[in-house]
Amino acid sequence: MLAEAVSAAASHESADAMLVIDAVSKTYAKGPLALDNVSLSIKPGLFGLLGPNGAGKSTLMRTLATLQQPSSGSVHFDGVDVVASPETVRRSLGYLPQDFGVYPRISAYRLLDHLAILKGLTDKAQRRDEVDALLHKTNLYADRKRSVSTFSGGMRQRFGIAQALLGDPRLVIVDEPTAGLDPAERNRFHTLLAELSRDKVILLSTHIVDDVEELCAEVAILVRGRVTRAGAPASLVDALRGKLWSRRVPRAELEAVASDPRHIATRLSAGEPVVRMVADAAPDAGYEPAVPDLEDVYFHTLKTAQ
Amino acid sequence: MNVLASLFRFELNYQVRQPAFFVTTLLLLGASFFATASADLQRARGITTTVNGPYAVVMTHLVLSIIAMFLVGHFVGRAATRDRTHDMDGLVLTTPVPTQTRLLGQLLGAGAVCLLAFVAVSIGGAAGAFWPDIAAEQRGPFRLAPYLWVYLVIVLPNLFFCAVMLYSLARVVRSMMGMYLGLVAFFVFYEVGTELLNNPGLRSLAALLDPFGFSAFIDATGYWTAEEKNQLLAPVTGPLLLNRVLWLCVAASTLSLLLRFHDERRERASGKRASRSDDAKAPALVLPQRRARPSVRGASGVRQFMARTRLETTQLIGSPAFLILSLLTSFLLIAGLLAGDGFYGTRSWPLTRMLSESIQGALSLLILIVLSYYAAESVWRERQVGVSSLIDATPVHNAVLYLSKLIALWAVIIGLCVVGVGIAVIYQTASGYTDYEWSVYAQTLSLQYLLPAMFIAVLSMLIQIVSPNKYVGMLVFAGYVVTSLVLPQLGLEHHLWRYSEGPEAIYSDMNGLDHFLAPLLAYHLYWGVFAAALVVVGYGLWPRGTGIGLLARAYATRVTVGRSGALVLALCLAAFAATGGYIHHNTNVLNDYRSADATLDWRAEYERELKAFQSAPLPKIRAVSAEVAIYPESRRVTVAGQYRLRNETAAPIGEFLLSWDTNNEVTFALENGRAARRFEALSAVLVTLDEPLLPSAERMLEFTVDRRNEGFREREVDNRVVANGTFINNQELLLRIGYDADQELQDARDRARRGLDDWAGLADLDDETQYGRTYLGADVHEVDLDVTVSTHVDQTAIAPGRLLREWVDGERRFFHYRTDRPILNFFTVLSGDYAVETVVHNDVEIAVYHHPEHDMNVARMIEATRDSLDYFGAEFGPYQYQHVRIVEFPRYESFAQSFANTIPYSEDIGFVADLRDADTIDYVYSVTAHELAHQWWGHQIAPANVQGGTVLSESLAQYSAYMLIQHRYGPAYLRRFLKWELDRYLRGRSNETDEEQVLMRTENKSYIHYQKGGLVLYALQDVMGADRLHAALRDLLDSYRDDLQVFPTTRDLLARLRAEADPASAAFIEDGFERIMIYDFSVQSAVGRARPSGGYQIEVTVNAGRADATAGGRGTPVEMDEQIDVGLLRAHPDAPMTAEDVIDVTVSRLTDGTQSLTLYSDVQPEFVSVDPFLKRIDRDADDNTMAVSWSD
Repeated sequence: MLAEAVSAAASHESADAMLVIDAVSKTYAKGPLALDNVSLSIKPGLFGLLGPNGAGKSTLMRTLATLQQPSSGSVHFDGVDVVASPETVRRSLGYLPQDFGVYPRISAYRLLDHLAILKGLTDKAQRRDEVDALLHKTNLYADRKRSVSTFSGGMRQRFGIAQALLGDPRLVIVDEPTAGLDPAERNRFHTLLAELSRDKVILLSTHIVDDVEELCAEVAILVRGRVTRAGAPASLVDALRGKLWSRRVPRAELEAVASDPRHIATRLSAGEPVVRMVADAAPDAGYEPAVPDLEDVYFHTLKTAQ
Repeated sequence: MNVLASLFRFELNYQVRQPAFFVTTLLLLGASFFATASADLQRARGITTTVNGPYAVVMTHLVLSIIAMFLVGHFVGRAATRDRTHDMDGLVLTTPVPTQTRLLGQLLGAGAVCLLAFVAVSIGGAAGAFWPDIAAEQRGPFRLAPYLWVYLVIVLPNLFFCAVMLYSLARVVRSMMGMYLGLVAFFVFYEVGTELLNNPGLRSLAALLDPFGFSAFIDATGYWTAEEKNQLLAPVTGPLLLNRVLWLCVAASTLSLLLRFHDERRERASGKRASRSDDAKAPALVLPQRRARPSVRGASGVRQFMARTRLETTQLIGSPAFLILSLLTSFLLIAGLLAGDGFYGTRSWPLTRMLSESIQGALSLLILIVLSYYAAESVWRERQVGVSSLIDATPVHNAVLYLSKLIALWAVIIGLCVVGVGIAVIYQTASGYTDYEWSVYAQTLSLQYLLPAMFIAVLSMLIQIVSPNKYVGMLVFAGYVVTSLVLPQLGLEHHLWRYSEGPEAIYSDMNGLDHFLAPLLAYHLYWGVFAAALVVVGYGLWPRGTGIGLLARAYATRVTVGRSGALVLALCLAAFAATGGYIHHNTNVLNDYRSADATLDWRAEYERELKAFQSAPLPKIRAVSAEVAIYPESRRVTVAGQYRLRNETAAPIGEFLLSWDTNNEVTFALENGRAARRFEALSAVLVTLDEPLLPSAERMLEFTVDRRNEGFREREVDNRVVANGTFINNQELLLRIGYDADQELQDARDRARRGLDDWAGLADLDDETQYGRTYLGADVHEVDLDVTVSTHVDQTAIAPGRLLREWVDGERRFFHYRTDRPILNFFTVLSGDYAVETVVHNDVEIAVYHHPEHDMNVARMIEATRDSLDYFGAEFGPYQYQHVRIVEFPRYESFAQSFANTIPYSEDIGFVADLRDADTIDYVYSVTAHELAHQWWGHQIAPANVQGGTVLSESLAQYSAYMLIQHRYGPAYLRRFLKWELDRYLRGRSNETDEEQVLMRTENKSYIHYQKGGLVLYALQDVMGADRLHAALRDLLDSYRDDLQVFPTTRDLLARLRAEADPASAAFIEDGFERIMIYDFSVQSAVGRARPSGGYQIEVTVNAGRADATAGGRGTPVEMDEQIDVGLLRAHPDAPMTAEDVIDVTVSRLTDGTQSLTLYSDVQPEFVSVDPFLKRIDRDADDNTMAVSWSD
């Protein structure tokens, strides 16, 4: 897993990129730039999009999923212009939006079958196999006759995953997919994504760093509409190696320490705050070198972007 | 109390911020504004109900307070169910506020919201009165009192009632949908109930039972004149007061029951199903090796379309709303069917064309609601439930998403139509009518209803597609509906401008859709291809994805519409242009197109140019001969004819006016005559005789007429000459001599706009210059007629007189008719494919020519004809012809009209009346008798061209029909007619827009000459005796029957009546003809007891009085001393009663005021009734009868 991830970490000018996002910007009528000159080249495999709420993740995802048009810039999938030929891209697209609803009074099976038809699965027998398989995979088979509108949050999310995978899409865009899933479900989902990721682009947006760390060969961090870091998680983490320091801090001093510009995060260890700072040398006595992980990279990015 | 106030405030604040509040307020504002602003559209001139007088204010508020129950339902229903629907109840129910307080707070708050919204009605109405189009005399000063009255008596009680009932219902059934179902059921029940109780005998019951007080208000003001309506507010007494108190009590007790017994917490027991635990053993997440892949597009498009359509259709048809709409349709339809329209409340056989019209009527308003509501639901559904991001990311073409929704919407319209047909067929079957005529349902419903509705559906969807939210979309759609109604006033009257519309088309059993079919199809094609273009625009702009503005979508159409879409769009627009051109060619090139205003302009022009010739002396037509060729298949008639003209004046005639119908092309030749001036646009010429026509000299006028119908027309369609059932009279077909005063505009505003002074009205009764002319026109007097009519070989042609010869020549059949004695120069030519029923009765041949399938009442018509000939012959003198021909014609008009020995009779009346129930009023008999009586009153004497003329034709004919009915069936049976006649007269005078004229001077007012005239003469024969009255009438006939120079007036009638009358009768004649005398009798008490000697004695207290309303208003009381019937009856007179129900009728002297009578009877009576046979015009005949109460 690690070896694969390292090999996938490459510059975004890579020639075998399937999805090329070039200088995409998006402005809404009211408000600031939602996407600011975003460029990414994404090869087959799992790609993580990490960012805080409101960073523009969903806007980017919706743009890639043909549901929005960029104000400027272009997106190509497999050489096809997503904005000009949305229809072509949609044929290879699986999309799980961050939030979705369903028709009332329609069972999970029927709705999935209906969406399968819309995805172009016209052969009845094949479609049944596909729908059954996905219902099994997402552990919804037993509830297939129930109306999706009566599903709990987790079940509904699994239904969303099932529909996104209909028709073996080559571009899968999943927006906050593990929200509302319990740990077991989340694991199963991760396994599934990893299994699927061989010859397709799977774009996963999340604000949970662990998701990305576990799964993605490459990651981009999006802050206020801009890509601030991109690359293989390992190489991003490497950049912090030797520069990360941590110290246990009494609660009374926490406020003062947290205002230090080098401070990136405060974690808890057995209920005690432990601050982490990025600096070329130990900021102070009492700081010990720490082993960086992706979360540190993420928080460091957020901090430096401010 | 503090809690209550804050709950109240919360509810109010919450609800007034909802879009629904904004929308309903706007709707109410608009409704009352337009109701007021357009109120004057139907008005003519003179005194009338002002648009902002007390009556108008009350009516607007009253009607809208009933309709407002739907908005009340929305607001109180929302209040009652909101906590549950938003899953707030867990939070709310745990607060320590008592249930009663919560409910009351919510209810009052929601009620206040309704009241707040309803205030828009007052504002809209008050503002509407300032619409600049309203004439000054129709706008009264603003007065506050009517508003106070209506809020106290009507609005507040009604809103309170609705709010309490609907809130309770919503609380009990715990769902909006359930509440709406109940509401609709109530509404329908209300409508049906109102219709069922809409009968003169049941009005007081209806007044009590109507929870909105509508019937009570109508009952209190039904016979008010315009003047009263403009000044008075109905007194809150009697039924109105009782009604208000009753329903307030019902509401109050419902509320107290609800507060006492409602336990909100129990509702939770049956709350939402908790979702099942969904963790289960996890199978391995391995997908099959061979995965299904999307297929190439072409094949999948069809599958996707089918799947979408199925889903969309089940979403719409499967929703509870559709069930509600189906129920509503059914009940509206049933209510309409049970209402019993037609003459005298007598129903028609349930012919398919009628039921098709009922279905269209029931759906007409509903469909606009459906189209507005469902288009919004359907276009916004995916975005509303949040599934749009799943759907929009699939490789589905916009057209698939759009078209499937459109088809589902169409399915709703068609579904409602099918529901309607289902109900209609059940109704037909239940009525014992099994000739379902499926093709008529299919034809009329698809062409007259479905296609236009489908086109509007396309527009409604497009509006939603481009609209920023669904409420704006619905408002825009409402705006479209209103605009489409006022387009004609804005000058865009031609249907080429009016989306989805086309000229009126009438289906007739005799003639099918015939000449309406071509324009119907052309217009449907025209709007159909336009709608198709809108479809392309619609899917091009389909809202896909999020936050993509209209501009961006418009820009993206080059992708979404694409090349093929653009091609389709171009083809549609080309076809639109081509069809438009084709229609324009037909309506404006092949035919003259005149807007409604242009027609009025034309008439004004006619008057301005030709009025000068009105009193010029004219030669008289003494003989008409003509060869009339009718070509039903091409709807053409040609005539080659001659008039023998004779100067019957004392001076030479040097010029006269000749004119003809604008549909005709005419040539003429007159010895020594030439067209000195041509009025091309007016279809008239001034003929100058180079050698004047000397007194008593004669000259022949020869002419040809060609009446063609080419292509089709936009309006002023020629319904006279048709494929089957041609019916045209000589004034429309041949040349007319002299000025035609019927062209003069009468409406004061129409005239003022065209610079004409107010219409002068009919010539004064004493204007002797008009005594030499009949009321039918300057050229209508006695002529000899010789006419040969030819028609298609399959048809029969009919003209007045004896049929001398009938022959066939090729495809043409010829009929040669000649009159044996002179007839009025007012006759008809008819042609159709008839079945004929003939009998000979005392040397008179009676023939009924009818549509083969309309044979239900033919025997009854013949019976009425036979009875009429016998009775009128005996009473008034012999029938003057050898034939009576009753001829059915298509329903383009719905009257029967009497020409010399020929009675054209519309297929809409008589022929299709359902007389199986013995309790129905047999108007077939009475109408036939009325028309037969015109052979005496109208054709033996013709009235002079002055006021009161129609008394001599219509009143006498109506009276004659009454007398025949009484002669044949007795006064108890006749009373059924008279009750309706009295009601119509009183309502007629209530709706009078001018000052009501006395009978002697009536100017073509039907409620006066038919109803009042008939009633007065009927009463008069009771007062002076039928023998003496008929002697006077015979004398009138004898004096004028053979006189061609002078025609009678009401003065001549009255002179002969007076000659036969004793003093009491003379006074009654004066009251009846020269005054407006309104009586009012009532029985105050009726107490009976058995007499020891056997038999019964009944003590009756009667109140009597009368008022002279000649000067208007309620009139001034005048002394009364008359002999009036007092009847002892076994059944209520309105039951309806039969002769056996009449035990005894005593004639009693009644004077004004209260008086006691003692009546005796051998048989025990149930009721006492003053004037049981309605011989006096009684302001309120319902209180004339009282059930006898028994002492001991």
